Formats: sequence, structure tokens, C-alpha cells
Amino acid sequence: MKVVGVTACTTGIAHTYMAQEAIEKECKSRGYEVKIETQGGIGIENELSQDEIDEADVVLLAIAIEIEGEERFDEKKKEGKVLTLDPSVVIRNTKSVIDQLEELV
Amino acid sequence: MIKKEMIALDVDENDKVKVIKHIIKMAFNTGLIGDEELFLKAVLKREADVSTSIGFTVAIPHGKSSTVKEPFISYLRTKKPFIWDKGTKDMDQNIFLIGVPKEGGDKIHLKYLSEISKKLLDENFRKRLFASKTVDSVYELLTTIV
Repeated sequence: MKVVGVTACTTGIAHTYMAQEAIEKECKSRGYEVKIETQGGIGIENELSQDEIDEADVVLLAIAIEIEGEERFDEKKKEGKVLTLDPSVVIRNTKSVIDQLEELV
Repeated sequence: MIKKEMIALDVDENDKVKVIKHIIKMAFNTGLIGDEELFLKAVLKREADVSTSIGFTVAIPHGKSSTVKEPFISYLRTKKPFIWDKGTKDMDQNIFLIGVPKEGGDKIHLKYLSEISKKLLDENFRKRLFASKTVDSVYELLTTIV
């Protein structure tokens, strides 16, 4: 399964990167391909291209604020392949969040 | 980014706001923030949005404020775990308070803070942190992360 996503929390320091780390770790442990873009205090890192989004199976938006380039996910949203949650929720319940992603496929 | 004066162990407090105020006072005394009340407001507002307790007895309250002079991370360990908030009923004991200036903030500082945050998800790192009994050993551990 190919997972892509964006993480962005309000202060852009801790949760943004912890959510990225948590998602990547869990996905890799399940053998999934994963790429997570972060929009935090450091700026946009690991930016997702439209191609990468289109090729993905599911999208996880672990965000607590409006993000840049959210239009990139419009198509996936129409297909019902996008899960949007607060970064803290994703950090605390990573396993069940990834379970939820699996159900979207 | 990390200073020995911003590490406190064995603190006898068991209330979230008191603990946050305690660390804020340390930050003020160390010259990292200019206005305690202002910073407290920012931290509590963030906390009210979503609890910063992340499980494993760790909480990472943080605030972005114009009164923060340079990005910092502080560590406080209480004598005993206490309820962080009634909603999650998480029992926390290891509190990292992070402060970031409103604008700018050296990217290297921010990167360092994000690296420490990520490390907290690593069980081995947490074990070593919780087992550190002195300010010096905590300091050593936290400064090896870059």
C-alpha cells in the first residue's frame, strides 16, 4: 500500500515532526511505501508532487491548521481516500489510524 | 537550545498549570523569555486546543510567542506522575516545555527541537532519559541528539 500525507500542527515544532515520524515508522513496519510532507516551523520539507499523490492509495492529513497546496488532494478526496485528523491524535493512536487508512483502500 | 538551568528533576508538583508555571519561571530567570504571563497564555491556549500529553508519561506543552527571545527546550521531571488532564487521564511525569519566537527563529534551533521531539517516540531513548538521575546526565543525553 502506498501512503502519502502531510503533517502540520499549530506551533509547527514538535507534533508536526513527531506525527511524521510516527506515521513513517508504523507504515514501514507494515511494509508500506510512505512519504510524509511536513509543513512546520522549518518550512515545507519532503514536498509531495501531484504525481506522488495521484499514485498513492491513501492520504493521511495529520493537520491542525490550513496547509499550503491542499488542492493537490482534491481528486483523492473525491475518491474518499483521504483521512484528516489532528496530529496529536495520530501520535497517540498511530496503529489504529493506520488501520483506518487500510480500510479506505 | 538546551541549558542545564532548564533541567529540573524531582520536582514536587502534581498539577499541570503549576508545573508549566514552574518551568516558565525557570525560563524567565534564564533570560529566555521576557514576559511570563504572556508566554503562559500562549502555552495554555495551545494546551486547550489539544492536549500535549503524548503517552509514555511524557507531555510536550509548547508556545509560540513574541516574548520568546530564542527557541528553547526545557525538561522537568516531577517526583511522581500526576494527571495531566482529566480528559485523557494520562499520568505524566516527564515534561518538556518548548518555546519558540513568533518570527524567525534560527532554522537550526527549530531542527534540533524537532529532532528531540522525534526521539521521544523512541523507546530506548525514553528508557535512558527516565533512568538519568542527575541534571548532568540528562544534559549529556539531550545534547547528543543532533
